[in-house]
Amino acid sequence: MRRRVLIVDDHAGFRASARRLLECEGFDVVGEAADGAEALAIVAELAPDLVLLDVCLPDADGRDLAERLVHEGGVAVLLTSSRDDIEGGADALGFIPKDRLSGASIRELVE
Amino acid sequence: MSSLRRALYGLGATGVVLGLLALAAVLTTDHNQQDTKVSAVTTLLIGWSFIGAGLFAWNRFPRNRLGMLMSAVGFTWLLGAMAFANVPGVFIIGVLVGSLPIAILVHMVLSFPSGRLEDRLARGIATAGYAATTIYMPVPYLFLDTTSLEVCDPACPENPLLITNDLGTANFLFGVLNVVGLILLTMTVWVAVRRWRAADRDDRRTLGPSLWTAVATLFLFGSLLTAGLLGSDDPFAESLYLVALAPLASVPYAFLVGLLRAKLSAAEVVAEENLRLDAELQERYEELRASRARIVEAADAARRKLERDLHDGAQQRLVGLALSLRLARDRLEVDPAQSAALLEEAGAELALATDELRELARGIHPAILTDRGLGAALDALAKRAPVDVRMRPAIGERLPRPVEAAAYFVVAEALTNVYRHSGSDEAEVAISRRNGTLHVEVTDSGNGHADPLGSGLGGLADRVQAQGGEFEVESEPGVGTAIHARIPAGGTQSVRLVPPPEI
Repeated sequence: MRRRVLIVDDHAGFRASARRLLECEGFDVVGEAADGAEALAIVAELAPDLVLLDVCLPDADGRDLAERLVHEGGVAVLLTSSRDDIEGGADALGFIPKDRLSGASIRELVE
Repeated sequence: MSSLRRALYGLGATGVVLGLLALAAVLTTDHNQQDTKVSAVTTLLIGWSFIGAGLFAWNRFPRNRLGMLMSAVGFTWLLGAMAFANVPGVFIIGVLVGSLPIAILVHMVLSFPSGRLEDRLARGIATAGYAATTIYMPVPYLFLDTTSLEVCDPACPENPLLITNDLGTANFLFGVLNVVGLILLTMTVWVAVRRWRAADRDDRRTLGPSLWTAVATLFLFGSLLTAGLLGSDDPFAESLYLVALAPLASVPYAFLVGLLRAKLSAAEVVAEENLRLDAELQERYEELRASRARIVEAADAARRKLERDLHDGAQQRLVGLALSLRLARDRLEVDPAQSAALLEEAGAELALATDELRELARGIHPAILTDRGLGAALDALAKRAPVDVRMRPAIGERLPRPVEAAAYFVVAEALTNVYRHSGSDEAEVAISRRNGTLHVEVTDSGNGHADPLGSGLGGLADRVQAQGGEFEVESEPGVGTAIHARIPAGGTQSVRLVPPPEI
């Protein structure tokens, strides 16, 4: 069964690239969100299995948002960023630098 | 002991001796109409007061001639008392010297408080006064038999200068002397009053006591001369003479007070000037500190912006590129057509990333400014600007780099403001170099709501001021905005030396 993924990032270019990559590598990208508020709404509506969450969002800190998504939405969260000096949030499964994103790197952290 | 101090002690001792000789002359005289005790007291009081105060002032302010003049009044006054002497040779010296103290007093009034006769009028009056009381003085005595004078009681000593006894001629010559004396005294009082009216509060404080006691003395001596001319009776002239002695005796002390006040107010001026300079320095220091803090803040802000630009721009594109390339490799065997499309897309993305990096680098510092100078950089800026720019650069030569950079960023920031805030779609840029100063002017006819203290324009002001230049923003709603920067461009500008304040 394909994992249902939500991509949260304020850069549309990255969302498009990530969607294509993940879809090609066997994920079902059920939605995209540009900020924290949108992310919470989509999680509540679609209940994805996994949220790929950018640490730097215009309206929220990714780590705080990860906590809410995990506890309120009951989803697994993977943090990502184009910076590489990010500490993984306690509630997230892990952290993947954006340019290392791949199906394999996700599965490694999720499974 | 300095040689001046030794000389002054010598003069002091001479003054004491001369005073005692004058006292002896007064006490032993056989031709005094007045009370001998009164004559003795006035002679010594006035003579020694002038000598003492004069030597004190001379010692205290050696370069000011007033001390010397004051003691000269005292010495000549004591010499004048030799008119009481019974020996004809000494008697006539006293008579001839008798009016000299008044001429010296005139000199003092005219040269107060600097000790110098400052203008031609003052020099003329003083010279005439000395001429009348020295050169001219013996002339009437050539015709005056002093033994027969009524003022002498019972009779004055013989006049060694006498050629022929001609009372009419003598009186005429004395009359001329009185008229000249009266004119000179009037002019002196007039000069003093004029000087008083021209003086400011501080100068009046200094001039006041001495000027008015001396003027009062001169006025009373003038009255004495007038009384003599009008032929008024002796008791009146005599009491007038005694009245005139009172202000005369107080003149040296008033002069001293004035001199000390003058020195005091000079010290006060220096102190006030120091306070003012301190405050100014403090203000400049605060200004400098504030501008330094703003420059640091501006540099930090620029770095934050640069990080954000890199992060949001080129870095995101490169991340996307990495993902596209990974996907293309993975799909290469499964779906070569998709792989080719991905590579195509990656190429386009790479071109965009390169463009963004180039733009960013230019924002940090335009290479064309370094390589080809301000004119070329401004032309390039005008071509890329999102508004129409009429460029009127009138500079051919290269300028110092910081100057070029300041001018460039003034124009760049001003054009950005025109585009973002003014609502106008055109601007005019004028650059010229006049008298070693680079003039930069950017004008638009937009809404005129520019904020000179905003981060953009405030940063420009700091940048221009850091080059020793001036920066102004004129922004008027409905008219538009004009930004002027004047930046010292090196070469012909002159260094302005501020002279120290006059003390």
